[in-house]
Amino acid sequence: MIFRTSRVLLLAGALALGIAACQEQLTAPGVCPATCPGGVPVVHDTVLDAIVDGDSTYVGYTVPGTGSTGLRSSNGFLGTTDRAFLRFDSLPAGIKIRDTLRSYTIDSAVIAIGVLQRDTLESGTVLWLHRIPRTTDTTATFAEIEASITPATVIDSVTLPDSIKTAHQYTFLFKGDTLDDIAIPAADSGVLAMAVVITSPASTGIRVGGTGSGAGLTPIFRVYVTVNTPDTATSIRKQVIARSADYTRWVTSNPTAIDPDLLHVGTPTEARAMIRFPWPAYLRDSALIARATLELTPDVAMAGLTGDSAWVDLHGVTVDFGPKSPLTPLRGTRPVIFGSADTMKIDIIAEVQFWQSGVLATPHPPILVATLDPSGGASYTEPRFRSTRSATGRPRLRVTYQLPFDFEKP
Amino acid sequence: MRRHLLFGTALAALLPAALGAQSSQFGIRALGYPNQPYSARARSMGGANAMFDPESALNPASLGYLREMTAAFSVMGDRRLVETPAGDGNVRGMRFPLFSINGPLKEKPFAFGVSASTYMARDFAVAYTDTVDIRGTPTGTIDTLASSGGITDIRGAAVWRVNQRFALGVSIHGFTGVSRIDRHRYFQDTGYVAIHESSEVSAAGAGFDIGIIRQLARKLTVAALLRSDGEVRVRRDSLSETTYPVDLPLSAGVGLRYAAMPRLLLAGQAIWKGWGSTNQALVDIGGTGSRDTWEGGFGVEYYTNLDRPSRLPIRLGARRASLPFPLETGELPTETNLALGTGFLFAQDMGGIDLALERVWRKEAHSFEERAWLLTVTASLRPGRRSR
Repeated sequence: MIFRTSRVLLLAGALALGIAACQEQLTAPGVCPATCPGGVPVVHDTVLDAIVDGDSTYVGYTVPGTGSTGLRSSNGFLGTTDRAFLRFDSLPAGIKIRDTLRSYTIDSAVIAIGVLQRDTLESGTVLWLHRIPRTTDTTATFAEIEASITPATVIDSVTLPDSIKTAHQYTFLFKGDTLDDIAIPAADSGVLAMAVVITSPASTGIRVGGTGSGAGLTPIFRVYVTVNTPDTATSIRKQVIARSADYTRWVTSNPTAIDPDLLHVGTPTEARAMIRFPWPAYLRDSALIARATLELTPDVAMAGLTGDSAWVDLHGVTVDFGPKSPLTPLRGTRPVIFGSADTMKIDIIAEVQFWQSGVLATPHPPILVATLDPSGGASYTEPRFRSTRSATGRPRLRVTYQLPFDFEKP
Repeated sequence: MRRHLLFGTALAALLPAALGAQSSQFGIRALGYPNQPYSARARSMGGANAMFDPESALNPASLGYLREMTAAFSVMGDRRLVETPAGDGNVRGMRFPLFSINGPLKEKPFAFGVSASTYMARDFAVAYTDTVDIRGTPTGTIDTLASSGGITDIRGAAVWRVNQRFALGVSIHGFTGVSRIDRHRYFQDTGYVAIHESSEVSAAGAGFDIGIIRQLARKLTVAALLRSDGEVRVRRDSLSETTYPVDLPLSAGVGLRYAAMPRLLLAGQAIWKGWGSTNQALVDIGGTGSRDTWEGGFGVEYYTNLDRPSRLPIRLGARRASLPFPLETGELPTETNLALGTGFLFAQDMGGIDLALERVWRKEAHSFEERAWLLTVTASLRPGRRSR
């Protein structure tokens, strides 16, 4: 039997490769306790009640009407009447053509108003534009706005079609005779201010686009003019003046009263509920947390605009500065179910794990902050939860965890 | 020679973390599965000639048979069917259970060697399901427990070849190693996040042994071994509070080799290990205890070429052993091997390959069984270019 070295080497190499190519697959079925050194891990579940008087509501995080959620306009919906109002930037006195200020004649005008949300089950809702005094500013009260809403101040109106259920921009065209409806007296210096009002067979509400609502939904006042100039070029004589809102606001007949014994979330000033929890050493230092759930009990059933959506969001804080505590990114969220008074359970392990030592260089304090999404203060949903001062339904944190596994146990 | 030994010692010191051995479910408890530090040649004879085999790290006196410096490296492939009351599973893996560099001093009756071999293997992964009641709701869980590592035996051996018929060897053993253990728990309710934790369980200790090989007659040679492994101190994540000692066994073994015919070599060996000495300590800390073990092997080697006995001999062997750490208290797991192998030298005898194919049955009571195919390849290198 003759073996050449090269053949032998080839054979040996192939054999080694064949063995080395074996992909490891080590997992086999186990059965406890025989193949469970260290035992079977036990799942623990504990409930942490919030620290008494460590929870509170903070308000003032937004000015109504400036956020992306726009402005509320309603007719007694949920017991309140809301009025949206706005003022456009002033139209210029003239247009400068070759260093000469020329007057102009308005040929036509368009006002565009966005409706962000409406009750999709409500038919016959009419959106009205009312002129209000140009001197109306952001401090106007509900009574002041309401006083301007008369038949005589109507600029225009539109019935919201049932077929349009999503955000939509409605345009109001003024031309010829109707131009008088938006005529701006000389004393008003080119300023047009107006309120957005709705009527409907039943009480309902809409959300109107404000300055923060994004392109296509913010209010626009566009004027098409002919410049009084000897120049015959159409591009010079025919011009468009576009004005956006100087401000947008809304006022309500029934401002939300913040009850210090409850936890408010949302509201026109975007209330936040801050809840502090005890955090025992066994959870901080050694527990392996599988789930952490915040349980909030509504004081009254949740309410909101049909077709609208709202979520209660949970954040942690990186350091406790009270109402000015810097919030973490979103850690947990839960949709609001209108009509439900059931305890709201929101999983929040994404934040609770940062309360443990060894995860971050500086663990977060055991604090949760509930906010409302959409933010901006225009949601009709204003959850109110019971606090540690309530007789029942106090906020609590339910933590499911395991203790460290006994690895060294043979 | 000295330079080679120094290099080998350094290399061996670097290797322990990379060494592993065949996995087994019978290595899940206590320190793991006790590896046999046998080369492919010894394995293919059921371990029967391991007492005489210089490429195996069993009897230091066996180095006295070496004529030149030899480096050997073993690789083992493992395919296994595991049967438990929870079901069956197919497992496969690859390990590097043995590495050694040994050689004689030139024109002196002494030889030295270093080796690194797996002493206890703790390579396994098990998965099991359970249902636990959480928040008042039965919730399914899937647990996995996986370990990689074990304890490595780093041996330094010295042999005095008293005469042509008698060799006396001693060696010291350093035991060191880490098992990296990972545990995962998955909940079937996705509201719960998976829990993962890991740990490193280390062990360290020292031991020694003494062995002889004595030619009693022209065809009959006997070998004997006495070994004390002392104790290892097991510790988790370098935390002194978790430390506990485990007595390693006193061992005694004897081997016989008989050249029955010019073409036929018979060999056999028996080894006792006193693992039972640490039984109470393991039970006290929640383990399933330990038992003394016996190992017996018998094998033959048939030379197909008398002029070059190293060219494709046929080796057969059988081995039966008990295992020290039962899965359930009071039981005694056992294993039975049938082996077949051969080998050859090449490149002017500078290189050698030995192969062993084993069929292994392991069993504990009627609940836990394994059937495995093991393929071991030992590659050896002899830079001196002389035939053994």
